[in-house]
Amino acid sequence: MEAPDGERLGRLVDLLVDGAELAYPRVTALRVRTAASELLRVDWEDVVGADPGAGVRLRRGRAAMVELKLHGSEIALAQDVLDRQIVDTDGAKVERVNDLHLVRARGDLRVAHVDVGFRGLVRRMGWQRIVDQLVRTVRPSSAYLRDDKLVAWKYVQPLASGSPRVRLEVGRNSLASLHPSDLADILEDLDRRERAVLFSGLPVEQAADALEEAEPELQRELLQNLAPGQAADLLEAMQPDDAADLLGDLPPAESAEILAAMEAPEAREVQQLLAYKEATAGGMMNTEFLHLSPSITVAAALQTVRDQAKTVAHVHDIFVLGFDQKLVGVVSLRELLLAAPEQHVVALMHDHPAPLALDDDAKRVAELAAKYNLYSLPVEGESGQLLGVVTLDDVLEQVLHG
Amino acid sequence: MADATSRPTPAGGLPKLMRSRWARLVVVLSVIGPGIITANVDNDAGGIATYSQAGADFGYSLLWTLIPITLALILVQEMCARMGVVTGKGLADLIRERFGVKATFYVMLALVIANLGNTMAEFSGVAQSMEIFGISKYLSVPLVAVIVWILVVKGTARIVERIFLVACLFYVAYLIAGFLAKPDWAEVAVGSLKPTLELTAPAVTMVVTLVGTTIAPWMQFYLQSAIVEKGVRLEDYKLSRLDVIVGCIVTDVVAFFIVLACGATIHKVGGHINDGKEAALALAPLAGKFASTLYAFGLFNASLFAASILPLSTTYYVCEAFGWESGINKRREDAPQFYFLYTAMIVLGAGLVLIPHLPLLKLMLLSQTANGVLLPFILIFMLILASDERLMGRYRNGRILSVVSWTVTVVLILLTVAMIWLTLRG
Repeated sequence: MEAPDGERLGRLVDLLVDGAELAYPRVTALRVRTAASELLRVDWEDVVGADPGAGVRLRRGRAAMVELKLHGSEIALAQDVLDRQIVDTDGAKVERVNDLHLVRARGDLRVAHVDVGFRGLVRRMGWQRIVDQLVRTVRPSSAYLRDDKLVAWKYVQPLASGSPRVRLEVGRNSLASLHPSDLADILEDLDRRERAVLFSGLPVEQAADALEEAEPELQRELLQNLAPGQAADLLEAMQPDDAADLLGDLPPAESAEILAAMEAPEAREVQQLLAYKEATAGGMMNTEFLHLSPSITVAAALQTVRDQAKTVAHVHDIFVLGFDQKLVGVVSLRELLLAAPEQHVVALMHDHPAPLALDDDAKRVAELAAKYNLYSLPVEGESGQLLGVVTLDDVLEQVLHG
Repeated sequence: MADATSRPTPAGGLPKLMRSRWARLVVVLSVIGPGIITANVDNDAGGIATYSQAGADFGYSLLWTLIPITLALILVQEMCARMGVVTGKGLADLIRERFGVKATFYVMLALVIANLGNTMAEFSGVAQSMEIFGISKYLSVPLVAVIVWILVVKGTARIVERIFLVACLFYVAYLIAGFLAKPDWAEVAVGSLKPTLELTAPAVTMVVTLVGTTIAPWMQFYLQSAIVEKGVRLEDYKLSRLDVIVGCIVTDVVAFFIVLACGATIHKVGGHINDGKEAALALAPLAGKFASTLYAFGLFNASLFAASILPLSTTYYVCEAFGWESGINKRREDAPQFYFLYTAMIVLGAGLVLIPHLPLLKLMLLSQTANGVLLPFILIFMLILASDERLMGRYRNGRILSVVSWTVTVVLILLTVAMIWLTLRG
């Protein structure tokens, strides 16, 4: 770091970039350590020459060095990104950053990629020339020389749990594109604190989806880190049967606390489900499902389905209910779509081939689903009323992991 | 999902008092463990060899060193446990994030080399114990290496860990033998309380070795990871600290009695230990002619226990530091570095022991001396981390703790310097 007259002012220790900028964020300022070991800030506008090897020249000399403050959503690359773990949202993996790839464009310095590969490590050790030369001699076709493992910045989600400043910018939430299962795997791979930071930064819907996919042990940890109110919000957003499974795994005192914080209707549903044994139709069923009255037209039925589908995950089968919630038949979405709008539901529906009772065990449910090629199976009460629906994903989960 | 038993109904269920007691018990069980397990791994093959030799060569005169060593052990392990609970990260992780690639590389290199030495010590323990039963090391060591590799990779290590822990009751044998040998308790008291140290190369080297085997650097990494893995929460940190302190004391009570038992028997007849049969004499007051069998059984258990933990934990933290995928639940093609390093540690550790005419006992002691030399350098990293406000917040080291722990570090470095100087001077 030099003044225009060549006087040494300090040493460059870090680069600040705007964390909210999505692609190729610009370096906004430098962090400098003076000879007196003081940490100061230099805005990029005050930098005139910054050639590798030569020093960094400052336009206004010492006057350019101001108190170290971070503006807005700025993050410090060396402190918050380099050597730390990030989420690669493209590859859906947790990686450690070995090096940073910066580009120069029209007077700006921008971050292009982070390097998570072995060659980045070698470069940081200062051995790249030797090691490259060695590999070239021994095995010129080595993947080491060709495939640098770079992650484009727009896919980089920094975690930096060390500094509370770096919250997840939901605006740049590239995590939103991740499949809930991948997100659950990522959460599993993270350290506890980073995990908590990431999880608490997710929108409720996404957090609930990821929670549904997580292993029971991880589910417990994630929930126990939240206040009962927050946990209740998440469980409300989950499918009731998954929420019940999760609560069933918690210590009784904790699950009671969360249940008490939940909205009454959801809490009641979950509580009912909790009373059933886990590996039975009752324990696997979901109490939210699509249902119709037999007397309406197909056009009205489709509108009803459209309205109900907002809270129901599986829309393949629609159950037709008569008086007292009694199951009178079933119709598939495909049948509704292909039928004439003025036709009545009662003319389309047929009996379900394999209605279940509450205490049918998981194996029988799986056998019936396989025999009749079913996506969903209704669970009936003693007087034939529809209590809930077991869907194929629940059957698979129970058979594989139960 | 657990099993098909009915879920507890959250509303009614247990009476309130029972529920809170039950909850407390769950907390206690979920926190206790890492400290006690670490304590038992601490008394591994290298440990038994070192404590035995210390007693055989120096009688009771070095017993006093175990008191400051215990305090230092508590100091160091408490710091690791605290860092684990507060940051939720392993020590290697923290070193990488705070000190960058270069420092991390050299720390890891030193640790891998030292731990390779420790792994060799464990396999030497296997060789030595089996030789007492007349089984050649060329048979026992490769066999045990294969068993350890399979046990760990197949993920059954957790269950085996429990069995080993129970088998660690073997150390009680030293306690009983120590009493049965009818030592002169007045002499023991003087040796334990009056700090005296001859400034000779063997004596100072033995102190460094005692420090190195008791406060082995790799165990600090292991402890911190174990605490992180347990997911101990800040509210429960006090319990975790208790676990660690109890573990430290247990370790050193065992160490004390090994030194005492050897001092009361082998040292009294003017002996230096050259092989396992001689080391076993310390147990003669208890087991008579079965002393060798008892000793062999105990040493074998301790070696196997540590051999199944040490290479694995080393591999874990090296991968952690460099961001490579790790874990026995990962497929081999997803975590190539992990499997390579783990296998290499075992193959090299066991393979080198097979070199003919290798002085196994000397090797075991030497690896512990190396631990002692490495320790202060690891401590420097730990102390900087544990005092870092950004990292530790209000849980960072206070002023008194800082002064004490830096003093310990300096004393350890001085000991190493003294050892090297005295040795070179001949």
